[in-house]
Amino acid sequence: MKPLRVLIVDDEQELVSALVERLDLRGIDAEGADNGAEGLEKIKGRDFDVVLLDLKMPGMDGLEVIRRMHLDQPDLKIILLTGHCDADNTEKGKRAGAYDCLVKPVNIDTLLQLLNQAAGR
Amino acid sequence: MTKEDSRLLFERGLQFLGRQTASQSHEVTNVLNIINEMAGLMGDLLYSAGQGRPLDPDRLTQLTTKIAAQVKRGNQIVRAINQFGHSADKPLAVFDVQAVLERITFIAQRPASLHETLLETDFPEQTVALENSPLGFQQAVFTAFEIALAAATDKRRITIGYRLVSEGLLLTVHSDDPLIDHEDVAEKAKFLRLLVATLGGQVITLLDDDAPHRIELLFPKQTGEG
Repeated sequence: MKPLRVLIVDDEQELVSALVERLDLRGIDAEGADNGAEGLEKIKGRDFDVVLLDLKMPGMDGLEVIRRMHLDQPDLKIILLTGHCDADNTEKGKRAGAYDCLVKPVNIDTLLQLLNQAAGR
Repeated sequence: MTKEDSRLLFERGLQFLGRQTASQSHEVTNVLNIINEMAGLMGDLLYSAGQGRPLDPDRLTQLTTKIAAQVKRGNQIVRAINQFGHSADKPLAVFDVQAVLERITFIAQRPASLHETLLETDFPEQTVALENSPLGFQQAVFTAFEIALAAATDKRRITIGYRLVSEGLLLTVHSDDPLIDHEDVAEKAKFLRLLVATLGGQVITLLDDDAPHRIELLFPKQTGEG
């Protein structure tokens, strides 16, 4: 089976690089992007299974990124990974098309489980 | 001042205190999340080493250095929010203008960054002491910053500065972009006029056609002056 391909979009670069490396160590093909625009650029013509997306970022916020990513790839699974998973944000996220919402910091095993579930594995 | 004005000032003061505290506590959470992932990564690398994968000592050194940098960042945020919280202790106090402006500028960095706007300071070499409400003064500066931020287009610059003039302290918020008088800004501008008047100061320039890039607020060096 091909390794799971995950894109992490978050403006905290150190968090992204640590998470990318942790997922890589678990056999996941992970990549990072520092903002929504870079995330949109990275998914073009690429087959990521899941996108992990922060909600509050400079420029485009997470909800706008979901809308734009789904214009390009309507079936792309996007999980919000944020400190703001309250009922309001979760509802807004799901309405925008997010698969689920996880609160940071997330347990790596919980994250893996949700990534696999979102990717249908 | 009307009863309605008093109520508005009280409510907005509380909102200002609450919003900044919430925003900065979110910043602290970001720092803790990074430390959490880096600690997790170190644990992963050590676990892999236990399974026979070579462990690069330099990689661990890099990670500890990065964790130390995040701890330093977290400390700066906590110190700023602690000092900010204490600025509400006294309704009237003598304070160091530069120190207070540096703090409010630090706090304003996140909203500026979310708008992809560069927030800078332009301070004279020597600071001055001002007698006023420390919290009210910061709220006035932050409100002026928000008015400027509402007009800022991506990757533009807002500069906060001050200088002593014969009438007192002139605080300036300068934006690369001309300020826009839309509904939200008009409401903030109205509140800023009320707040500055309550602090014994004057709004010199705000949403003026002749100076569309600048907000100027004049504060007496001591309350009762001006």
